[in-house]
Amino acid sequence: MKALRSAATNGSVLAGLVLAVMYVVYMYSSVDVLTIENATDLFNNAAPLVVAATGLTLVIVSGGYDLSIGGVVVIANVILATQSGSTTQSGLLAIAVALAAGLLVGAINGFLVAYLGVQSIAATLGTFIMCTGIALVIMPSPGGSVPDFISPGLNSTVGGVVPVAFLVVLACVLGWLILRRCRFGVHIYALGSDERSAVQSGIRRANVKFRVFVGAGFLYAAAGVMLTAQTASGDPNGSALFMVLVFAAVAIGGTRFGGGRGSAIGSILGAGVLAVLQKMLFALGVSTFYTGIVQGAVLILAVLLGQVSLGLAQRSRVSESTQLIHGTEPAGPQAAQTGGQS
Amino acid sequence: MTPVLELNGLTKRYGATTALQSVSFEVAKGSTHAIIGENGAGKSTLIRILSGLETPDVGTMSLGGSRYRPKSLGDSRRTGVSTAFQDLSLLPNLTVAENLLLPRLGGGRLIRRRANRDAAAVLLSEHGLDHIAPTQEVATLPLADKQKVEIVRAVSHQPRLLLLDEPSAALPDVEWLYHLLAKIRSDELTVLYISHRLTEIRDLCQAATVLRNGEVIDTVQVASVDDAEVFAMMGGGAKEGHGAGARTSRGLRDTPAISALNLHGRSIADVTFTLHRGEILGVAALEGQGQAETFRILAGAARPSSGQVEVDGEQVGLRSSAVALQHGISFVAEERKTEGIFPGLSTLSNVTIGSLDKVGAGGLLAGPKEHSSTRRWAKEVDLNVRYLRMDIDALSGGNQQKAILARSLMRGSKYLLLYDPSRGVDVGTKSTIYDLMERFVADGEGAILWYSTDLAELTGVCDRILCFYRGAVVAEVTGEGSTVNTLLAAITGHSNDARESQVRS
Amino acid sequence: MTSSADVDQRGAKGFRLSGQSGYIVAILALTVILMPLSRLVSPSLGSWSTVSAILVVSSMLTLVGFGQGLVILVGELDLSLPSIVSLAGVLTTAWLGSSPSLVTFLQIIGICALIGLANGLGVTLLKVPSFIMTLGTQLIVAGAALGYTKGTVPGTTPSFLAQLMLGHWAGIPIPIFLLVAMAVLGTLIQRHTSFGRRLYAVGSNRASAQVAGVHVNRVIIGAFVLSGVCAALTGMLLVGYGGGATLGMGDTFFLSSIAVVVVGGSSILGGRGSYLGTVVAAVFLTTISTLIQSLGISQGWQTFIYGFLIVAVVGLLNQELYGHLTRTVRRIAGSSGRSRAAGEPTA
Repeated sequence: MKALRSAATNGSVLAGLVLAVMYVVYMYSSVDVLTIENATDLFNNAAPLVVAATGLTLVIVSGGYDLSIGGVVVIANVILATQSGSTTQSGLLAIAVALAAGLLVGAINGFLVAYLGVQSIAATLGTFIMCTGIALVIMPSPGGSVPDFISPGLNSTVGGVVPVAFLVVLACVLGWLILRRCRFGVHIYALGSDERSAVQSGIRRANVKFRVFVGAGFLYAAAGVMLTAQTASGDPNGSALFMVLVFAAVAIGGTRFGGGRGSAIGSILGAGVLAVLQKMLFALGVSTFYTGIVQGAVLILAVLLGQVSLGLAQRSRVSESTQLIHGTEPAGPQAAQTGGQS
Repeated sequence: MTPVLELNGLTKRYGATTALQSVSFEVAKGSTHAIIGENGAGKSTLIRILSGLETPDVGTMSLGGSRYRPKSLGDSRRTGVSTAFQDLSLLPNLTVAENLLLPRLGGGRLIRRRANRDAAAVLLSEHGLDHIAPTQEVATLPLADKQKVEIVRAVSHQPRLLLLDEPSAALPDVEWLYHLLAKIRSDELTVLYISHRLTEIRDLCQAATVLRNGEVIDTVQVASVDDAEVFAMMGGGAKEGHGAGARTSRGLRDTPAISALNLHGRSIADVTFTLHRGEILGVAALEGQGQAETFRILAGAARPSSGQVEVDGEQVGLRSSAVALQHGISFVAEERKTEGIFPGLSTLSNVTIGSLDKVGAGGLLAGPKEHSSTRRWAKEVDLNVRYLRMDIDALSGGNQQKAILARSLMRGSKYLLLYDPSRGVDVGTKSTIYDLMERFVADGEGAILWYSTDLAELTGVCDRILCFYRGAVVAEVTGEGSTVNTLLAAITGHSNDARESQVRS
Repeated sequence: MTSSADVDQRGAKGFRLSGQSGYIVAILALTVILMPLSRLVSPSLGSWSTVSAILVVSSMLTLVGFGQGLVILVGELDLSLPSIVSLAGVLTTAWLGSSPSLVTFLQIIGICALIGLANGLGVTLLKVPSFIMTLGTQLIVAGAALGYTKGTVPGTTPSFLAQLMLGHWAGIPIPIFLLVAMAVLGTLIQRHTSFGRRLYAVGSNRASAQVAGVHVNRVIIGAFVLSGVCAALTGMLLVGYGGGATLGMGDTFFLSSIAVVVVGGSSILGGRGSYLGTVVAAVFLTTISTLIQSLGISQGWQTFIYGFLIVAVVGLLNQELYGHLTRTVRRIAGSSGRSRAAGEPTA
């Protein structure tokens, strides 16, 4: 019974259920769904979102916000579109440069937030604008090209069976699971849940926050690489929608926006939900004009679902304890914001 | 004596407030040295500096003969200093084992859960905490156990200087702590014991440094001073029986002001009592015995699971603080930082927030009128009018508290619920608060429910005192019976006995 | 021996000179200096026509910044403003263009106020973090606008709006009067009304506000409703200025509405800030972008510099850096041998 209850209150599990349900609906709405081609296609669509959502989860769990996602993604995109030449080698080099750029932006964010104490929303807002500017400098107008190795290379399969994108998603999942078992992972959750106690327990606040942003930057750049594999070209204007979807994925996955709770596994499942949703709407014949509305509604509903599960979890935890508690009420709605800034 | 710790001229300022001013004293190696002071005396700041969480603006420290200048908690630990904080620093969503072993968590890249669990189990068992499972989430532990884990964690680092900040605050029995300290005592270990409980200090410590308002008053040998002298150094405070004579002349009536009837809640069971008009009703209790929840229910800030509240004889549903205020009930909460002041706003704004309709018309606020209306209330609480224009952050704790009280007065509330209002407040302000309370109920219309952790001041000012223990009112003390010892016995669950080792001041 | 009186003595000195007003004056001074200086870059800049153009554009940014400012003041964030601006613009050309009437005008404002209401309810009653709630609203409203127009925006610009935004009065463009009027009205609302005072209280410390009897939820909802209304009005003004509406016309306000509030000195956590700062920041940022644009550098570098400036400003604004600096200064002063008597006021 207890295991069932804890499963019900786990955001990731809920997201997984939603995904399963949606996939079933999707299967009914169109034929040829269970083919490798189709699966590859789905993973290709989802991969950029999955990787970016993993990065954002890092930041959110540590108690911060990150508005620079779109900026890093677009920089990675234009770097590949202009620098990757035509050979596999040059392509690999370009990918390395793009990932390094992501690390750099992450480092700047980390420096501002961790060492200068700037609020994460304000700092990442500034770096986002800077990134879009740099992207335009690198590539003033859409175009460019990438070698086959990247596109359709990264969008195809290994040995004709396993989609590369699937491996990327798998890497994110494994990476996160390892992180959870690492000291660094525990420190991130500690900082996000109670910063004061964490510092008094010997956790190095600035160091951990810095590394979180650097790691996130790297992941956003990787997401940009996967996105380029999809579009096979560069667009310095980027996509505002993408950033919103990344936040949506994290929200659907049940990660709390004040920090300290949640998991990238949930975010990854959330990204899957959004990818399937898009396909589903298309298959159902819903005009693209209305996808925005559905996505927005899903975003809000997802968070509500997350709230409910968090609320249930909290109540079950309280009834477990036998202590005489101070009769204090939990903090008001500002909790998400107050605990969450930088 | 060989001093292991020397502090020289430590000064620390936060903006406009000076927390520590030229603090200097020495601690002998191998001794247990007390730091005594009321809240707001600077003890916490001192601890934070010694633990490496803050750096002093001026002054030096030396540990074991060498310069001691920690820049982080890790630094202090590495130098052999370990701290058990008053505001416990355990992470609620992590397990006991994880908390005990933070931040290293058993070294290496990956955490070895089983090894950690075993290591934690050994640690817990060593100090008599077998009943706590290492895999338990800290959030599920009762407060006393959390305190014990915090202390054990500090001890586990095998420091040469152990800082204990109010270690017995949440412990209903101090035997465990005495036992632990006796066990770890050695010539190599020096303990700094921060507390205001004189009996514990006499039992455990050899020397004591008394702080007041951020300054060292004196460092003494514990055996050579008596309690009265210590009180005098701490700032006197309310001695037993302060103003007792004035009690009888007040207009205490039989008319009920607020009645709590069979209240049940998360931490209380069947609480029933009545506050009368013209009365100052005191509440005495240890931390976490249900008094906080009771206050909050009466203030509209919490809901009981069952039971009723009556105001002026009529049953009311106090759905929110706003509704309670409409019924004339004003609540001054425990922590003014989180539930009292508005940082960043002027003191004037802090006072008028509850009475905006009185200082303007049609939603517009008139500057001059706001100021003139507020002056009267500032004078009532003895708050210098000059402070009204300043940011409330610039005021001392005492003046901030006065401003919050002025807010309630300006609002015109009849009934005040004061939760430990004199905490962290200087002696002068305490006196002002007592006078204010007496004036408030003098006409027989107003009434005050007052919780204080200072039993002496309760005996000096209240008509009656309710004693809470384990979520219920276990005693009602009046007149002859209202001595500190009687109260102590009641709030610790002993009806007639006042055990020596439990005396708190 | 220190007494509480001494402590507050220091407070009086410590809080007078530094802080908000100084910062706003600094930004204003910078802006004023930049304007004639820009003449060095290009003779056409620094002229009255450029200055007035800057002020006209700033007027719209200030209006939407007022709404965002109220929301940030209570400690939340409104990311749905771009879609509300666009929606209002689209409805203006579609409904008001051909037959302007007060009723239609109010209907458009009303719809946008309802969107703000939805935001407010979601944040207070459903406890959805404002970041998410308004992001969701943004998607829904943008989607609704798209669905309604099917991609092409119908209608024409109402003539009264064109006259308002492009006309002159006593030789000065009308929007500049609007700017001044808004600065006055906005400051009045924030600082001299009960509502404004409660906004500050809720933003400064929500728990204290609750205990003090402020209807916290009503205040927050009110802020979101006003934000929606301001966005609506901005959309209308933009239609008049730009001569039409497009589906993405509000997109530029996504970041600039936040930037203008933050650079204007308001804390993103709420409870601190003044509208005057927002107004000055709006003019400052518009001046900067005009200047950057005329430098003849590429679009990319322009955007980069703009972003860099924002980072520089917020980076320098924060307390920790200020604390470091003062401590270093004090250490240098202390080490040069000056002794400090107890009770001596701090700088």
